[in-house]
Amino acid sequence: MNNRQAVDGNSSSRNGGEQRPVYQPSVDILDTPSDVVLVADVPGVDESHLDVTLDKNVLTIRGTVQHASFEGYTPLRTEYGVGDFERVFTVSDDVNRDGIEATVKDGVLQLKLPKTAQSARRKINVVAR
Amino acid sequence: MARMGTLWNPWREMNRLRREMDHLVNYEGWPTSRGQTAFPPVNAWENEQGLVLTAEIPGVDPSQLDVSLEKDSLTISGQRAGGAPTTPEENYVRRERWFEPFQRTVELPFDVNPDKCDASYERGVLTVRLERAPELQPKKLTIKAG
Repeated sequence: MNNRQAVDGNSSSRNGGEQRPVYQPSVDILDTPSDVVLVADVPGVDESHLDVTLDKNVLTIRGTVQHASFEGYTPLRTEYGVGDFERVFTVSDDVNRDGIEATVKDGVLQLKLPKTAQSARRKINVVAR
Repeated sequence: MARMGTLWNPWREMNRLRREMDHLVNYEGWPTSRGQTAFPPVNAWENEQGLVLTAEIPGVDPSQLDVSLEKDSLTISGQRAGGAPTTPEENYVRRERWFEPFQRTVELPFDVNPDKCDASYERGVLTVRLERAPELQPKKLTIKAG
């Protein structure tokens, strides 16, 4: 979880007109008989600030971090940048698109991509880009 | 192929190496970018009354998170939940997250009041609020009307 990287040098997101960096979260991908499960570290993101879209075979997860602002304080040490998260994956056709479930707990996103009945037990490719 | 990730994970290796290096050189720099040196990464703010520290520790059960305070240092330790398949039928096809136990001690820039601290864990971020030691608090004089 220490290897979070900026998506690219110029990447940034607009949030109320404010530009901020976008980071690529670390992910684990698990293949189970019934689902493909994607787990991503998105500290600072909760369920209401998470977007998961599947457009054709392109799965995009995007989280908007809720800024902690401490009024009247001056920054003393900055070891991590605060920004949003985005990562794009390619998924095969064997995912049941209507059954995708996303949950976020303690800054960890879990995305369940159920396999279609025909493809259950078969391995489905989800490729991180 | 499917088992590859469980045998060798370059990210895990890199993190382990980095942590070993940190240990060896006892790095005291305060880096400003994503080039992180120790886990968990910590941000800090100060004002006249005290200090706020935040640390990104996604996916830890608060009961597995230990924060201990000395007069001039704060130690964060714990272990993240998960990281292993729960049934033999589960296979990791990609592993970038890691689950080693961690411990980090952060030196504080001034002495704090050990009785006045507040720690919370929300959305995977630990926030600790500390107050300066009473003798370091700014004194406010009461002016009596003559």
